[in-house]
Amino acid sequence: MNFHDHLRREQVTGITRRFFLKQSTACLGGMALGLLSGSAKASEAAIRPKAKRVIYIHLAGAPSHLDLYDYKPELAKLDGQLCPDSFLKGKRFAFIKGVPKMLGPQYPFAQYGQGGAWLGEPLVNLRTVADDICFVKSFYTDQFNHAPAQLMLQTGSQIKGRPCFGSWVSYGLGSENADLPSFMVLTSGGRNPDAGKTVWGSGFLPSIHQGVQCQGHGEPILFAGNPEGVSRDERRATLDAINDLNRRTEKEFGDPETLTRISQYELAFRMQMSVPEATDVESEPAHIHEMYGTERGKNSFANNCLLARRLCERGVRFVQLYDWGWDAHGDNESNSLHGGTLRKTKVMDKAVTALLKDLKQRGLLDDTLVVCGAEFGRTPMKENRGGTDNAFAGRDHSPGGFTIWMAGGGSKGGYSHGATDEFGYQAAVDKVHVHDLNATLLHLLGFDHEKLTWFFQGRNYRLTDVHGKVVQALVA
Amino acid sequence: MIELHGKGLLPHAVLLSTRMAFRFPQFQFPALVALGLNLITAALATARPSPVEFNRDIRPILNNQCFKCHGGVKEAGGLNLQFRDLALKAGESGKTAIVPGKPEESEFLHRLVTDDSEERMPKKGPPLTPEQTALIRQWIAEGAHWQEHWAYTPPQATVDGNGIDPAVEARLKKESLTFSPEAEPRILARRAAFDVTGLPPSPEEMEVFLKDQSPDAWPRYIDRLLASPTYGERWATVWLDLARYADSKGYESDGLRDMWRYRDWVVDSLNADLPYSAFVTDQLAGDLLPDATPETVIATAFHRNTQTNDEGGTDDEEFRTYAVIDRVNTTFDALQGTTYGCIQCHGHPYDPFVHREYYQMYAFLNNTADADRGDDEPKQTFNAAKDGPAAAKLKTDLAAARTALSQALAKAGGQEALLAWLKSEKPVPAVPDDLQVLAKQELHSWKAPEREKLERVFYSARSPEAGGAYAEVDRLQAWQASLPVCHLPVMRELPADKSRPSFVFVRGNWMDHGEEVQPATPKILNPWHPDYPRNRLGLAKWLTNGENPLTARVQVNRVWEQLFGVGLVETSEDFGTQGERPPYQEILDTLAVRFQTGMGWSQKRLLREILLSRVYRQSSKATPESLRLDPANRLLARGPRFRLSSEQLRDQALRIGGLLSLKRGGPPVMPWQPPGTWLAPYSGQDWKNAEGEDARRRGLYTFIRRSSAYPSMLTFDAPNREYCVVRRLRTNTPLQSLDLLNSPVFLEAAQGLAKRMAEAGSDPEAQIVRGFSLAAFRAPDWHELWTLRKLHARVGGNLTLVANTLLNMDEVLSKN
Repeated sequence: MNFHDHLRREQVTGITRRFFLKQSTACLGGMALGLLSGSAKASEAAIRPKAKRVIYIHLAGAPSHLDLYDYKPELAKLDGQLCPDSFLKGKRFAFIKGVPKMLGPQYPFAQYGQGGAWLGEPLVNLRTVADDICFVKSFYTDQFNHAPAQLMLQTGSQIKGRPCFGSWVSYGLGSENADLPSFMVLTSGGRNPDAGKTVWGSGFLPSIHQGVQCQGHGEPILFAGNPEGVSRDERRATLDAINDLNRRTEKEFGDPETLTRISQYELAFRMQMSVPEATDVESEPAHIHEMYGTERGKNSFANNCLLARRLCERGVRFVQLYDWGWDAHGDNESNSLHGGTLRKTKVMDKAVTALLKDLKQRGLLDDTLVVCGAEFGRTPMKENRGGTDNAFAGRDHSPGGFTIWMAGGGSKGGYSHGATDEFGYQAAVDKVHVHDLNATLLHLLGFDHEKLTWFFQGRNYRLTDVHGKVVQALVA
Repeated sequence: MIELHGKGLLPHAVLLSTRMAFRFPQFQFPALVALGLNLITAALATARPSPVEFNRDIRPILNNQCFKCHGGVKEAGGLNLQFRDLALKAGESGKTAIVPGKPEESEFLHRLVTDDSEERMPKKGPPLTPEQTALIRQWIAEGAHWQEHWAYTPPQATVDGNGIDPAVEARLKKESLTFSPEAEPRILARRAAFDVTGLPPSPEEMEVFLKDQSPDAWPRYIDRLLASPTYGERWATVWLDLARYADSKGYESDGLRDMWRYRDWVVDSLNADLPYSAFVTDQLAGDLLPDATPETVIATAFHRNTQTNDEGGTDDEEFRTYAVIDRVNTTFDALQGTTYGCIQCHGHPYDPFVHREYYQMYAFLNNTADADRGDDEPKQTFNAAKDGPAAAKLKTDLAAARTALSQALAKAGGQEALLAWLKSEKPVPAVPDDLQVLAKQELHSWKAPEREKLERVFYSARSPEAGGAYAEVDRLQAWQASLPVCHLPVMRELPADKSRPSFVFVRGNWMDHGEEVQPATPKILNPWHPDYPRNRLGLAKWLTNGENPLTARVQVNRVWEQLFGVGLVETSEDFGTQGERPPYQEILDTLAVRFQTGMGWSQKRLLREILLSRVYRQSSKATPESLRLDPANRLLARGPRFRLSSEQLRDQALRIGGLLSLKRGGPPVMPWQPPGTWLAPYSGQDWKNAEGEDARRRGLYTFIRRSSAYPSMLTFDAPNREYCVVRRLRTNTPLQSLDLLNSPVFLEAAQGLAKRMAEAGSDPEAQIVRGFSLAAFRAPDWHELWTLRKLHARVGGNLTLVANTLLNMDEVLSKN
């Protein structure tokens, strides 16, 4: 290869010169990783990453850790009593006013699996896979409102505009499949998450790393389908012509971007085939649908869990699920612990358990990291909006201590880490901050969180900002 | 573990960059040093002539090896090397780091060269090379002189002529390169049309230019483009990225907000060529001007584009604080090319700004009446029927129509005829029954609307002229009612007795107050004038009085970046020491000086000057040789070539398809997007696909809802306008291909183009030639024609697919 050819190849694989890993799509297939392993930096690699891909389930609105994961018998004793002053002093709440009453656990709890994980009664399925799960019971965040807290969890900052977790992973690892995007987003619950599409935005990372939303209705990826009446052969014919004309342009102007464009049209053409195939949940056998509890032909959380498995199987690096509607203030029935939230819990319990079992039976759980969490937890107090008890049982937002869990991908199954105080209010033992969790998740993916950076506005930015410590105890 | 540092260089690209660095030693590649390639520094170091120059020789070493621990963030061991007075003081060890003239007594040097690995610096990292320590030794021996960073000292005009060509010519000669030949006229005309108006030229404009044989054909063409109102629309797009302009409030429910009148102000001000100094002053402080007008108050909506949080239970003061912080950052990002956000939590790690200065700037912006309230007050109402450009005409037309009406009524017999009819007690044909009854009542019992109704029926029945006059008044009144009203959030200063004190936020935490601060500008920049008021107006004066070293440079660089794809300073968001030292600083500085003096801050004159230059008019064709020598074209030995922006791609496709509406201004529009795209929580608002002309407006007018920006815009790298974005990165992705092939707007454009192709007659070849010419401003060559004829046959003569292909040609998608 002469120098000019070499140069040109370099420029084609880099989509824009000097912006490092843009070739991650141009050279889909873990190329980025491959390139790095040949570099000086790779010699510093201390561990082999266990996780190759991520399914990140975000229950937007935030379920109650106190009724599902974090058993607090002491809280049960205080049920109905006025909240102690010490709980309220110096705290900010979204809706609680004055002195609210305490609200005990709403369901019986029991321990499951070898690891003895405590789980609330509604989680009838999840208990069967408790030994695959690593529960972080001392998790905490800084934000107590939905949108900022969702941003905090996913981007490491409460303010819009930073790249999200999935974008960092896409930037770092690229895709395993040349014909699919590396980062895809599936939403359910009838609404986008409160923080909007920013939670899957790439911020200052190149837009190639932003999450590609799989539409709940119509064509799965926007504009992937040909217009009505245009056959695949006809599309091939137009692409042949476009590429032919573009090759002539490249000869004339010598612009390496033109060569990249030709390869991107070819990739687009392949995506037109691979996306409908990958997203065809209907083609799954009946017993799989039964297992997940899917709703045929609808946009549902269970369908998205099944779809996530299909995408992972096909090499999508990061699949993010957002299920909206978990807020549980108790100001109306659909927004209450025994109403809407319980209904959602049953769907989630079945589908998420099915996902873990299904990944396991396919040998995918070992290198697929599944994370299930929310932007914050709920208060041990019963919400009293405006100073009087709400009509239904509900809890206000509580960022100081709650549970998030993960499974597979090198995380330690059958393990519960840390603890909140005796009322489940504040993380107390082995606290894990959002930045610590993100550092740990990146560690499982083979990254030093302090070194996965992007230079922007005068400094190196990273997912964990200037914080975060890897929690080794969570690593298998 | 894997390390991955973006914007660093690909390992496999190192070879290329090393060559670049050898060839052009003033190019800075900080990442190279980080990668351990001290080789370059070493090679450069040995080439240094005496004496040592701080900015060139020493600052890069300090930036990359020392400031991380001994700069504004950490002052490890009590040592800060950013400022000379601090570096000359004794550190915690009691030893003096730098003793000017005495390298051997300087602890700094000692710690760099010692063999004791416990003591040696840098603590975490390989030792400096012998060449680097030699430079430092020499520098201390020569007196350890610090130099201010180039961007913080006032620019000097040093290039003759147009300030551009002589500098490039001299440099190319030195590098044994030459200018590329001038681009073909049709390519040049298209390039300039995009650069000035954001649109391809119309076939007529192109023809006039190509036929113009006079020696000043080019400047005359440029002047025609500059006079077009589409100029303001094209350049407003650039400004609105900085202003984070959007049509919604942001955060959770992301409610809609009337901001469009501000967008129209930007377009109009650019078209009127409002001097940049006034353009900036109005936006920062239009409400505080002694001669403030409703228009200058509209301009202040610039800083009301911050997000407000309507989510239940949020603390308004917290989000008001974030909005003020955003205003500080935006002011510096947009107007000073300075990463001021760095010092929100601590001193600047590299640049000479200290933590307190952030909050002194904050204090300028902390005293407006807005406070993250749901109603977004204070606002200024703009009623297009009263205050808009149509208002005067509407007023005269309505007056004329009313006069015509009263004349027609008089002709029809006037009041007397009406009374005569009433007295006659005869029913009048064509008068409805209820009015017949009314007519029989006593005059004094009539109410005004009833009387009007009665008169209208009576006179219209009597005289067709009166009927016509009534209709004309109706038409004008309907027009008046259709004109939009905008309740625009604006800046309003709090009265002195309600002013808020400002504090340093300790480590950037808004609830942790440190010392109280007063409004002040950073010390390192131009001096404050004592007669300036310590408010936003004073701040605007300080930025635009011609003494600020950054204001003009940053704007010149921005214009250059739009034209050439890369700014004279590539890091247009960072002129600080971590940014790039521009290869053509002399052009930047000369244009900056001329921009703020001779050109009187005229943005049109600045643009014109660059467009007329030989550098701009070069062909963009690259040869293997030129690509090898200068792959990024930083030496400007050829013209610019890059993909069009999201807005330009849309506007061009619609124009080639003969569909583009050039309707200007007004509320944002909702061109087609798939149903269910918005879906923001707690928000009943929905996207209603526009019909008719509004579906085909310029991209500038597309509704921007922050939480769910228009998908096709995002795909082509437009920001979602949450924060000030100084530079859009350009990507090249398969989603772009899918959008260009299949999205409704590009399909509609293809259908439009197919229709125009069909007008060329029934011969496919003629149709193809016509379509090709409309899209690319040239006829296809034989190979292209052959390719397209083959396509035409393969798709069964489907002209829309042929047009779809033409609109996807790289030559059409790019500025060539």
